[in-house]
Amino acid sequence: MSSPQQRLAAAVEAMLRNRRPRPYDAGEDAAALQAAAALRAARPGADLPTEEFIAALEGKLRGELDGAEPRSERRLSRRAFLRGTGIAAAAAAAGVAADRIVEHTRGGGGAGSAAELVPDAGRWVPVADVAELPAGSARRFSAGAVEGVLVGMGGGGVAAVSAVCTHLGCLLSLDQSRRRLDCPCHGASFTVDGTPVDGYVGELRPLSHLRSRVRGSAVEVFVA
Amino acid sequence: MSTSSSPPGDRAASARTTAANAGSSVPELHVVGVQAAWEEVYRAQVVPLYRFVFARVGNRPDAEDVTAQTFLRALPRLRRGASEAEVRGYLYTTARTVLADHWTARFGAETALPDVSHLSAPVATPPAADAAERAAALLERLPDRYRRILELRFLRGCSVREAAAEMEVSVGNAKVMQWRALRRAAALDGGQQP
Repeated sequence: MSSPQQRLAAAVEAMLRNRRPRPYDAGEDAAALQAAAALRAARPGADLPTEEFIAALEGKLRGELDGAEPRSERRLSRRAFLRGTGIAAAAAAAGVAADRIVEHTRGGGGAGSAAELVPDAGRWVPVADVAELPAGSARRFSAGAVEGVLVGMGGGGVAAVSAVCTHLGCLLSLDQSRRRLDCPCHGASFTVDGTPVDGYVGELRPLSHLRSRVRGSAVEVFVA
Repeated sequence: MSTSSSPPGDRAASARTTAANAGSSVPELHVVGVQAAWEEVYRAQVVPLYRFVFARVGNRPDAEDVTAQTFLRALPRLRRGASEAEVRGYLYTTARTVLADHWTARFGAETALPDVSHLSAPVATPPAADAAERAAALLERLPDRYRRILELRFLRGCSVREAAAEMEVSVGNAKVMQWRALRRAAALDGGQQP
């Protein structure tokens, strides 16, 4: 019969090798095993999920959630939804950041030479008042499937950039004071013109630029 | 938030419906919005939730199982229009239940999970992915030799044999020391919980 020390050592060994510990009645040592789990997670990077897992689980969830019987008779089928709202919705449903469809280089000088890809179906959606965007200011907006940030360019000009991280599609949060977009998932950071900063230069694609315009006092963004 | 008047339904895909645009609702689009919303919830929450779970199971296959079960259980039950705090509260409550079941099955029925209860409430910020901080705080309060063995094993990834050599003790002694150190850490951790 193995001693409590040996059984705990075996469970710890399994954790450190990223294997499931063998079940046993740990009794009092359960709390020690919890401490072990907490320490195990502290090794840099040890507690990050793999991209394969994130994608596989999303696929599984899609199967479960879309396969389920509609709870409401008003619920539209996914197909009807796609027909109704066009390719941005299709891209969102397919796990692609919808804003990539409206990727567009403003003034021809976009970072990373994003190809101009303009959908023929879509609409301009007002997302802010131009008075709210003095030169140098930045603010988040949501417009349907598009999440973005508006940047005041001065002289009534406005630029818009996607707020979806180019790594795994997490929504970025805007840090006004630093004029940065930070990713809550893996800590990536972008300037408000979409350029990755710090250790992410060259690792991540720049954020997509969105088509924007000012109509009257309204700032509008093109949503496909 | 934008103060401009939004066209009907343009926020439909967003889970963060605000009072400001609740006036111009188009039922069909809101219904459609439910479908898009789970993906948004998933993408925003999967990494923090996984890290939360990992720090409580300590290995990848179990962390993947518990995370997957949590989403599979929680997502279909989220009501439309739930706030971000409500979504998080529900997710972490579900995670706590799944974790409790997991620990009971793995290490016996008496496994308490006091350290997740205070995280299940809807909170303003997601439970911080603070594994490193939590570990540092734990280690700091341990006697030198206990801290040392745990650092060698968990942070530097030494085998028991390597750790024993480093500390100039036998392999058997290193195992006992690791056991005692973890028990002491658990006692400290438990004493700290609200």
